[in-house]
Amino acid sequence: MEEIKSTEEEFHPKGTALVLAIFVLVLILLWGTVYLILLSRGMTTV
Amino acid sequence: MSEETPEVSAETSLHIDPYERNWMRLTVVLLVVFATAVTIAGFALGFQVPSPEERVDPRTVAIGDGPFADPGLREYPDGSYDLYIVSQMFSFSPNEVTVRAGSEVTFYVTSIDVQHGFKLQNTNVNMQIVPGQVSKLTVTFDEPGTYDYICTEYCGSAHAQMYGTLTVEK
Repeated sequence: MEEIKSTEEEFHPKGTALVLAIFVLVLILLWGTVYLILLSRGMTTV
Repeated sequence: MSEETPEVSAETSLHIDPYERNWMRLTVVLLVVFATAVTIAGFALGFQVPSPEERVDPRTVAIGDGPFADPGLREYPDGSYDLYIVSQMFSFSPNEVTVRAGSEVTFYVTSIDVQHGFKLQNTNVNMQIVPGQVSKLTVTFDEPGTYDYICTEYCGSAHAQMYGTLTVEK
């Protein structure tokens, strides 16, 4: 257990975390943009 | 010679790295937010997707007494329209339509040959046009302007020439 804990303490993949943060941000921005375009174009009904 | 089974404690076997745990949490939160937004658009704001209105025979739908034998606009006293469109390789009939701003237009579109698409640019009108089926969608045009409708399903060599124009006048 001590070995695992010491590995955890040293494991800080800041570069990977940054890349994933950018990925999530882009995902949210793209999705949000499309959603706002959908709303701005008005309702469609059947 | 006997092999000893290594001891695996519950704490070790269920170990999840904090970064991985947070990533999973974020993924779930995003999915919940996206699903909530789509649910609000669909049920609270009333956005609906196209529906198959009825089944027809593509060989006879454009002949006889039906509305697709004389495709085009039908105007009603309340200012709304029904617009019947026949799609075929490589044209829409009619391919030029004019309505008044603020009017509600219900599109009825069918195909008499192969599968087509019907996308009215800069609006949320986007339907698959399947032979043997009438696709229906209603939209209100508040902004005057010109809206092109195009075929979005590759239907042959002149697919790119298959388009029409809907004009919204003041």
